[in-house]
Amino acid sequence: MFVDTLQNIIRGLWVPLLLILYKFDWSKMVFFGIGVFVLLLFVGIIAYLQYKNFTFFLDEEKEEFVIQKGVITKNKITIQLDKIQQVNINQSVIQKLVGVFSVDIDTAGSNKKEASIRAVDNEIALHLKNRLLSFEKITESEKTEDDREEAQKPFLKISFLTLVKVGITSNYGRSIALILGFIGSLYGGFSDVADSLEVDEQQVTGLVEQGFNYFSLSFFLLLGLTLVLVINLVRTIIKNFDYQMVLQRKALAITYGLFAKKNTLLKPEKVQVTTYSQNFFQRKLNLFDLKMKQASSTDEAEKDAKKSDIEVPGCNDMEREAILKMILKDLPQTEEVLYPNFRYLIMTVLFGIIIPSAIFINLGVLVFENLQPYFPFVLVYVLFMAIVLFFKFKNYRLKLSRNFIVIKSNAWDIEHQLLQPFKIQGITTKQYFWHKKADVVHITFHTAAGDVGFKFANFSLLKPWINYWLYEVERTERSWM
Amino acid sequence: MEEFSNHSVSFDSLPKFESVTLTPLNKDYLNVIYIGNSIFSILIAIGLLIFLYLNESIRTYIILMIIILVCCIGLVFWVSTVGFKKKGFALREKDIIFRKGILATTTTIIPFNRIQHVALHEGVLSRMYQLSELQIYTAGGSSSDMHISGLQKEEAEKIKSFLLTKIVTPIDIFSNTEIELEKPIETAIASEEASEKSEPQN
Repeated sequence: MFVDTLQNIIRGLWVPLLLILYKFDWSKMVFFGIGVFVLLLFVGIIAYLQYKNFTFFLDEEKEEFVIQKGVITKNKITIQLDKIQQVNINQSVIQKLVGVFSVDIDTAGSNKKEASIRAVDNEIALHLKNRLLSFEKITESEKTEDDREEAQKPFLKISFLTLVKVGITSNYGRSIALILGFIGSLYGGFSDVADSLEVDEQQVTGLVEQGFNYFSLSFFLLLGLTLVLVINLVRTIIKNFDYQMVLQRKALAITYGLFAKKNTLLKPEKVQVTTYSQNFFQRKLNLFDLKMKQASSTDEAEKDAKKSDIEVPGCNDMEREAILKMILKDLPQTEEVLYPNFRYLIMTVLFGIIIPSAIFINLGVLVFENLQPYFPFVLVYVLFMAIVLFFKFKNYRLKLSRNFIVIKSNAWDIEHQLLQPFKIQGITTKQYFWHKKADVVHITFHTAAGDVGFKFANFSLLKPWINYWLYEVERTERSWM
Repeated sequence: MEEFSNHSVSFDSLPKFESVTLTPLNKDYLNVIYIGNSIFSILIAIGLLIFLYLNESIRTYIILMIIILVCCIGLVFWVSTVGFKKKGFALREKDIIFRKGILATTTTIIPFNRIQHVALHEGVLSRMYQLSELQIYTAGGSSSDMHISGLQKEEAEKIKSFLLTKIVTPIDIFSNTEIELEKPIETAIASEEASEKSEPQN
């Protein structure tokens, strides 16, 4: 608790702190020391008060979980057990040192985490999770359930080797962005330092340029590539170390993480959209990346949904089928495949190739003349984009069957989004008037985990399906959550 | 799996959403739109006047500017008229359909059993004409919310109460917990304290 408050305060104060450190006058050491001491004391008192005022309990009779907190303003959070969507047990590095866990309780209701208990020991955390998530079950037969739980074997376990494979083969885009960001901030930081130290700037930039001349371009490329791979590898392993999925009663318990241990319980019926993806290398290695999107709240669905997504970083074909069967009760079969209209290609080429290169060339010719030496890169870009867009078009499919809607997309990480018709909240079709003659329509399925759509579909082929889906949603007794 | 047993439903026999005739919005709503547009245009014109008053050099182009302004206002009126005509809704036995859009025709269908709640909004101008806007929320986020404006107030109320009877919310299912909450506060607190004491032993 103390550490937590300290962390919060430091987070709030780090800019002034840095300023103090930066402009530090060593003769005022004593004042600084006193300042730190007072701050720590202050933090300690606040933390103690917060700790004293933080209580939580489970109201079995009313089926509620109640948290009371607050020093000056008292808060009382009451969550109905049936509304609890997800319970996460996390452990950060600091928490690991002290030996406590934090429990986050999530409902579908709001954007942020509804309730969070920052420091409980392992036993209470696990107990809480089990109690909160399987309330009905426990009241029925508590003891036998607990006994059975002990004997359960992992449903899925991802080995170190698999993680290495995953790390090498996935998330190139994200890592490249990460490196670029890192280099950017490094450069920014470097020039800041240079400015503050009043180093002769010309000298430094001259040095850098010389450096660029010494290293050949290919070497840089190689370096970049290895860096991407290594970062990917390390990140994947740290994040997903010792990934385990255990079938617990009717839910899946997932634990992973090397430093920060994460522990999540997932109820299959809460999963709204299931996505699996695979790129070329992963296909050779028989690896899939599986994602399960849960119902999340309304407005910041896009941003927030990512947090409550549950990802299985590496599983083979059989494991994938087992998980899908577990969650969806069924495997998708394809009855009808819808292809996108060729207009899809026209649109993506227009926005992906023609407009960007036209803007660039116009800028080069009319405004910034020093852009002109880079014109050959436009050709490379056009070629690259052409290949990407072609594969995007080739992979863009809507596979339909009575029990499933499957959207296949993407150029490199070929992605399948699975959606069950009874989980649809609403359907929107959108048709531009110039598409009317071509019988082309964009369709969007609104689900509780965000929108899923398919563009440039054939409307006449789609109409009977829409009617069928509506019929399916309207007659079904199955609850979507 | 029992509820899936009648699989042999043929697609042709299903009711077709595309052949439903939509009810247009109330004619008075067009007046509301026009009044809104007029206020907007007047504000823009005043803005332009002030701009002209302050900038002497631009005054030579005054005729051009007025022409552009008039064209813009005309366009706004035309677009909103077309937009009004394109809007329409239909209530079916088990779902609600709403269509709108000028460049693109957007049709949204929400089944009744997926509606979360319904709200009625009334603007100042709409109230003069006894109109209100019906907003239908689903769990699918703001993109799937349905805004049906320009409904006669009584009609909107009727639709609202009709929809409310159709919604199966979780609250209905768990209604027993609500009854429990109605017991006197003292006993509620007492039971809370009791469970609070028993909690650490768990």
